[in-house]
Amino acid sequence: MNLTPIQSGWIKLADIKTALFDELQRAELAVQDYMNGIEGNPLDVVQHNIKSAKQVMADAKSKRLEFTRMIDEKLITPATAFEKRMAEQIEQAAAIELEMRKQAAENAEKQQAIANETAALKAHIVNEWFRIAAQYRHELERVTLESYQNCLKEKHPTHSIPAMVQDMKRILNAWNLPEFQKFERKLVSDGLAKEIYDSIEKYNPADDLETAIKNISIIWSTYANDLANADVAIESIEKHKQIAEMAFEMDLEFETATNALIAEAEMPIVETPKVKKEIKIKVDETEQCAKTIVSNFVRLWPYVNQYVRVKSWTKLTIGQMADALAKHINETGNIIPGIETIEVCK
Amino acid sequence: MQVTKLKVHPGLNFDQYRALPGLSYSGIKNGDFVPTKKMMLGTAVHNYILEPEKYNGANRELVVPIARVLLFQIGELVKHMQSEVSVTCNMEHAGLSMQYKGRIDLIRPGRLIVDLKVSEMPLGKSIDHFGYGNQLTGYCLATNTPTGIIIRVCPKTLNTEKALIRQNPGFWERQVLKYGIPENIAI
Repeated sequence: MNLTPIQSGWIKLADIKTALFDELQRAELAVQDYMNGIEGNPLDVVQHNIKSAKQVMADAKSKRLEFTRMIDEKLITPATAFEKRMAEQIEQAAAIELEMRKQAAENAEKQQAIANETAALKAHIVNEWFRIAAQYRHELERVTLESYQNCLKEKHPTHSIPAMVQDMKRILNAWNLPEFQKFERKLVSDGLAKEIYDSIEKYNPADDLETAIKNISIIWSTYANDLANADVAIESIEKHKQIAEMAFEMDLEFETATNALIAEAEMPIVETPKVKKEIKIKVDETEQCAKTIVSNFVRLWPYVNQYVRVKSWTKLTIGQMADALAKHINETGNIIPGIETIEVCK
Repeated sequence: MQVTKLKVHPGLNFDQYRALPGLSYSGIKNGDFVPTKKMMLGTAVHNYILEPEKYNGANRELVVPIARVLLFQIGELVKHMQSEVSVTCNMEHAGLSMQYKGRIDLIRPGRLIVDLKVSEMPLGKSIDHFGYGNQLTGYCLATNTPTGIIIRVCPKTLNTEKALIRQNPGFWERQVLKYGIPENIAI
């Protein structure tokens, strides 16, 4: 049967391995011979036997290394090279993916911030129109009642009612709308802001002014009666004004909070890719760094021991201590003096 | 869909509310059920916020932080709204009438209803899964209130979210067709 070069190579390798293992077994037996009955021998014989056994073991080791080095160089290293190259490529791609994810998260955060400001702007405009309307109505009523009170206080005669009514109409007609409060816009563009502004129904004061002007005649229709008992009327109007003031303030507070809640509830939530941020400890190859890590690890042992997983305590490394301290920092947000940290995104 | 005979029942406790005539959303959806631990936590939070005199102190370490988060979210509104309001009405559709009842967390009639939820499930999911939109639509229809908002807090993370409910009376129209009786013999 003809064998391929690889097949014949494997057979040769098997032969070499069998021969080596025979040789290693013989070496082990030789060491056993040297050690057998060692307690009954004089010291110089014991010392000689140990020396000889060590020599046998050293020879065996060098033969074993010759074989395993060959396996390593010709088989294991070239075989793992494939994985290493694959891992490098994947790692590079993962780094690119992380950068893309970070960028997407940053963009999503910006979009969310714009969405938040858009919602806040909408709520502001709705609330401002509500406030302006409510305040305008309230002021028209207040100024009318105050004028009426003043007329009563100054005891204007009843024959001047038409003049008082005319004066009042002139005052109300000239009464200005409260000013629209500015919104501190940072992210929403001019175009979008205008679009939002135009989409919200504006307050038209004409109807309220008309109603208020109609009310003037109604209010002054009882002037003669009130003048007959002016103090009582003035006090009663004062109470009415106070109640109206409180109702105005409560309505405004409720409506403002309601509109803010509606705006928040309507606000779109931008899907944000997850970028996990983790604190790692910067471990320098210096004695000082090692000492800082060890001393803090010991000092914080009650808190960090939960993060330590070792099979053998004698093999606990500085790196593992640093990892445990990093987990403690991630969990608590505490700062450990002398320990330098870096934020790693995953 | 028309609503008639709306009646607000002030000051009822939950058992008194349950004794009222009519079908509630949870009655239609769940029938008689044994509340789970998670539901009981939600009830405790509701009691703590809306009826503090009825809160028995159970799970205080969980209840208080959740309640604080919800109260912060409700803000100024809480003092302008009525809480735990029981209502009954007749829902009428296609010549049939169904007695309805609901118990509303927070309401300013004619303007706003706020429903509080303590749930780990995001609203995007739970509104469909548990039909919260239908529940709130029922409250809004019954009280002629245009706006219904759910505020959810996650009991684990204490994160909150809010959702404005788009009212769809279709669910209630179907219930009237299913459970209603002709209007001329309705109570």
